[in-house]
Amino acid sequence: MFFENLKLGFKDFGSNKLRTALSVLGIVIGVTSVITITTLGGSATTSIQEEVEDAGLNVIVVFPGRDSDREVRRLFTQELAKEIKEAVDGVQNVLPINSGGYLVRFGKNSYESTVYGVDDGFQSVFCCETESGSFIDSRDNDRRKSVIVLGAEIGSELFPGEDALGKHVRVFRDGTARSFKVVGVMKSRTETMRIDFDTSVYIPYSTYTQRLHRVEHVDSYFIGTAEDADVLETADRVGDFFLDLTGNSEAYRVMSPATMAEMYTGITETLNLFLTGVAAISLIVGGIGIMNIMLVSVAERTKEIGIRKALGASPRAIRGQFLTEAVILTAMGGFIGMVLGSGLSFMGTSLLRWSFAPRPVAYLLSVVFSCSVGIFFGLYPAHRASKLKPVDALSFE
Amino acid sequence: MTTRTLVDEEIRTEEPVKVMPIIHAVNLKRDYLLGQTVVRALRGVSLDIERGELLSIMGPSGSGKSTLMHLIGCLDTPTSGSLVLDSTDVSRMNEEELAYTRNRKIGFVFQQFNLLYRMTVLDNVMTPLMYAGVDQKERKIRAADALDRVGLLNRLSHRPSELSGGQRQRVAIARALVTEPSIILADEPTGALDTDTGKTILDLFTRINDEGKTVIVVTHDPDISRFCKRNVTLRDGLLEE
Repeated sequence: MFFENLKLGFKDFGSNKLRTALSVLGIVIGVTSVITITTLGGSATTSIQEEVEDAGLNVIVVFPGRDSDREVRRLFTQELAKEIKEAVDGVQNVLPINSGGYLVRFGKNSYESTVYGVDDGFQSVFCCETESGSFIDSRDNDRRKSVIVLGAEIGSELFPGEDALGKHVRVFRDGTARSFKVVGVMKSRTETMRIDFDTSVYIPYSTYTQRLHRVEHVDSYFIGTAEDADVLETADRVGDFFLDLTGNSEAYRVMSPATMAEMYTGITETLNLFLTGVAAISLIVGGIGIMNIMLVSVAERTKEIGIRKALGASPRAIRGQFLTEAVILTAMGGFIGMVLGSGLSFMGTSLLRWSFAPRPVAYLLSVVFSCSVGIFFGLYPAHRASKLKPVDALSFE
Repeated sequence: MTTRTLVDEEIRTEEPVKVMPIIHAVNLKRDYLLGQTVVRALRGVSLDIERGELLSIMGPSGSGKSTLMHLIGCLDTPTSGSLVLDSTDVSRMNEEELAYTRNRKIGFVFQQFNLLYRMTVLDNVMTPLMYAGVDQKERKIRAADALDRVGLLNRLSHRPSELSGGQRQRVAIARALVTEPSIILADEPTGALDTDTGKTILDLFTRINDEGKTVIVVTHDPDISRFCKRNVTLRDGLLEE
């Protein structure tokens, strides 16, 4: 009986192609949106995670927050770095870093750059390597040497086709200039934690704070976590440490790629859920369209229903016939929507250069949901058809 | 079912043993509510129809003959009175049971043929068997056989719209016969046909009747009633035989 109903259903749609197409449009749009949104959302999350993994998951940054005043700033000392390392579990090393915008010039070439005052731990925390020469080492720091390491892009901008090693560049700000000897050029590295490695330059921390820009306090601490430590938990402990220190949770900020990823993922998931909800509403609207068309169909085919009843169709058989038609409609819409949604999200992800991460759950849910919409919104028209009195239905013209 | 009918025939022809009539109606009443007024379409009809009869129900329009046909055809139930059809009381049945009875015991032939125009001739004739739960393969065989009996074996895959009126009515008769019902109920079966075609349809009914089926023709045409072996006439919801 079910297969007969399927056949009948398709036959009926065949004779009413435009109307069928229009009535499934709602479902098509609904499923297309659900699939596209969930796939794009999933791909976004995956891409964020990939980017974070690329950037290095084991870094935590602490810098003064919105409520920080001079009092708080004064607490951010170089000595505090050692205290953090000793006091907080899971911390492997702590780098005090100061930075500022300067103009770096060699001959006629100049470049707006961020100068970072760092110590030798920087390289290991961020896993960045030198293309040529070597990075700042502890002796450079101890002796406050005027040496500089250039980021990949700035290296090639200032020294196009030239070897930069051993050359002296000048670093300008507010009319004063200082000369630094280039000791290394970095390999290109993905930007992370707001550090654009390729356009930055690095000098010894002591040189920065005592010669370039005299300050007592540290701009930020970059904390490398131990291999076996959980970054998020360590970040929490670092937060607790600073809360004890400052007594104000707004006086400092703790960030790590992991917490950022968590935040972004949270945002995308919420957005995803919201958009999926909107799309689901369009599925329900589509379902109402189906109900409408099924009611029209029942009214139009009253005579047919009468004839079928005269031939011995039970109310249940009639109900089954119309219910099957409604489900075919929505299932068809669901299938088309899935194909369209997959296509759209594939295009979207390739445009955005995200990895295409379709969610099987979304597909499964779309099938279940569109069939349920068919059953739910088909039930009433089918029930109405089954309840028609044979005599009345037969005399309908 | 056919064989049993034949056996009953034999018993009846050899010695007049009292057999249960195929239709046994006692004081059938059917009231309709038309707005505020009650229309009493049937006001107490008692009627026995024997197995194998060829009977016409006559009457002017509004006499209640359509109502009586609907009751006999299990398309409707009486307000009061009892109706026993082939040893089954159908007067208090619910919709599912009525549908089952219509499917197994009654074959309808309508004035306007009432074929399903989106389907082929073969599919039309197969439809009652689908509701009877017969499997697809056997359905085809039996439907083709029924169409053979009305001489339309060469029209299986045609659409009803490609056929003439007489052919359409023969498809409808094949459809009525395909479930081997005990009663064929025809409502003005020649009403939409010209005289000659009507004649061939009536001949077909005679043949079916000769095969042992009870045939009931509802009509207002005296020519048709003359062709039947027994006539009953309804007037104002009452029987006058």
